[in-house]
Amino acid sequence: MANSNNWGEIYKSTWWGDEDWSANSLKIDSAPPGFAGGQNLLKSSEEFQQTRDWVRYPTNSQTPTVNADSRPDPNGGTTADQVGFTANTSARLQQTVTLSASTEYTFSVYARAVSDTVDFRMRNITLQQTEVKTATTTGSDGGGFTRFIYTFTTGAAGSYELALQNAAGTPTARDVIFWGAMLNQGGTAAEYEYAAPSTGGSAPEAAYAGFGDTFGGVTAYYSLRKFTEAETLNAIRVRKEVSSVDEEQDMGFDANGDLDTSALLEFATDADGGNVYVSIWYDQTGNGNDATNSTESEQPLIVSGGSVVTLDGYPCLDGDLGAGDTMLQALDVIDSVGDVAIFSTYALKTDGTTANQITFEIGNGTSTHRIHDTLGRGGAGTFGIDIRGTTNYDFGNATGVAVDDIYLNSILSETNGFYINGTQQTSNNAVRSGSTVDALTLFNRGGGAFPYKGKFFEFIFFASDQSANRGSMSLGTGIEGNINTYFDIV
Amino acid sequence: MSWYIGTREEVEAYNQKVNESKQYKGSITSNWANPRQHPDGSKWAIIANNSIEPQEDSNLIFEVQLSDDWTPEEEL
Repeated sequence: MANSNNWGEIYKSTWWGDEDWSANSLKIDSAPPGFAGGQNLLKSSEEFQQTRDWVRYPTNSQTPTVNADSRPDPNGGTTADQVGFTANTSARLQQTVTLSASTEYTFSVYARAVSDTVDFRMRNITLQQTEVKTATTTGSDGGGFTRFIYTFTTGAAGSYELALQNAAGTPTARDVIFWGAMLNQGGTAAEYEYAAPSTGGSAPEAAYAGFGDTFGGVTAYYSLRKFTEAETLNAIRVRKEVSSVDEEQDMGFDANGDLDTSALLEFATDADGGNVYVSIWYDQTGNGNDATNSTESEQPLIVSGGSVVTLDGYPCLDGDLGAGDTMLQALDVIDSVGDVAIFSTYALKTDGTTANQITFEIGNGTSTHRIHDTLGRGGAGTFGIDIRGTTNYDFGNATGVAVDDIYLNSILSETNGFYINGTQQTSNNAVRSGSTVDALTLFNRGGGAFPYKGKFFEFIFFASDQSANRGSMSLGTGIEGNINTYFDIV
Repeated sequence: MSWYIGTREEVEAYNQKVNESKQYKGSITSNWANPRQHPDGSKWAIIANNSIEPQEDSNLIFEVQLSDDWTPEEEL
C-alpha cells in the first residue's frame, strides 16, 4: 500500500532549446514509470473526520458520524475510520476539488463492512453521476478491505464535488469502514498515495444547499426547490392535453435548484388552453411518499394560460379549480404517530369567507383521528388547526392571514405548538399521541369535499418532534429560518 | 366548472363515457372525476366535461354550480 513514487527523482527530461533556460526551468515531460496519472488530488485521504476537507451532510442533528482511527486498516495498523451514515439517502462525506476540463479522473477508496455486506455510493455530485458499491468483510486488499473505483470525465474546468454517500432506496442507517481515498488523473486507479489534511482555511461552501442538506430525518418533502444537491430529483410530474390527448412528463430543477420553469413552459407550449396540471408532487426524501392523483379534474394547476403560476416570483401549485375537488394524496405516509412537525408554506386566494377549506390532513378522512388546518373555520380571515387523536385538540383560530401573501404555518409537538410566520397562535397543547394514521392529503381532507382554493409552495412533514430545530424566521436560523431565507416571507 | 346531477349509476356512467373518450395515455392519470354524494345521500354529482355530453337517454341534470347544500358541515 505504501507509495513507491519518488518525486525527488527526475525520470525523463527534455532540453527545451527554444526557450530561455535557467537552472530553475528544467521541464519534465513524462511521469515516472507506473505512476499512471499523478498524485492524489484529494486531501485527508485517511482522515475522514477532518471536516475542513470532508464536509458532512446533512449538517444538522442527523449528520454522519466518523470514528477516526477506530478500525484496523489494510496495512495492519488502526488508521481506518468507521463512518456512520444516518438514515438519510443524502447522508454523505463530501470533498471539493478543482479539476481540468474534459479530463478523465479516477476516484478510489478502500472500504470494508463491519459485518456481512454494506452498500454505499461513490458520487460526482457536480456531474450528477453515481456508482453503487458493496463492501464486504472479505475483500482481497488487506484486512478484508476492497478498493472501490469510480472513473469519470469532467466537463468544464472548475470545482467538482465528490462524495462517499449512503445507499439509495429506503433511508437506512449504515456503517462503512473507509481508508485511503484517492483521486488521480487517468482512467485507472494509481497506486495509493497518502494525502495530508488541509492546513488552515475553512470548509468549502456547497454549490447548492437544499433543505435536506441541512436537516435530516424528513418523512416527506414536497417543494418546488431541490431537497439536496446529492440526488438527481424531480419536483413534479405534469400533465397536459394536446387536442384532448393526454401527455405527462417529469419536471426537475435548474442549476440553481429551482423548478426548471424553462422546461415546464416548453412542455406547455402546445397545451390546450395553455394549462398544465400536477399529477404527482414528488416526495424528494427518498421515502417514496409521493402525493399523487390519477383523477384529471382534481389535479392542481402549475401553468395557467401559458404562464407558470407564481406569487412574488415563486412557482406554486394552485388549487383553485372552480368547484373541483382538488387533492393530492400520499397513502401510508406513516403507520403511527407520536410526535410530529409540519411546516406548510402557502398563500390564500380567498379571504376565508368560503369556510372549511382544508389545506392538508394527516389521517384517514374521518373526524376520529387527523391533523388538519382549516381556512375560515372561525369566520372570515381565520385559520384553525385541529389535531385529533386519543384526545382532541382544537387549536382555535388565528386572524390576520391576508390574501395573496406567502405564509408559513408550523405545527410542532410542544405546548402551544402552532405558529404562523413564527408567531405563536394558540394556548392549547399540541402534543398528539396514541392514534394510528395512514395518509397525507394536500389541498383537501382525505374524503374530499373540502377543497383548498389557494396555493402551496412547500409542505414538509416530520414524523418526529422538531421543536428544538424550529429556529427563527427573522434570525434565519433553524427550519423556519431556512424556509424564510428561501421564500422571503417576513 | 359545471356539474351533472343524478343517481350514482348515472354519474358513474357519464364518468365512464368521458374516460373512454379521453383514452388516457399518461402513466398516472386514468380517470376523469370522482362522483360526489349529496350530504343527505339522496343524489350524486359529477364534474361536467365541456367536450363530452351524457348519453342521450341519460336523466342527468346540468348545473352551472352546486348549491351550498352540497357542502357538508365539517365535523369539529
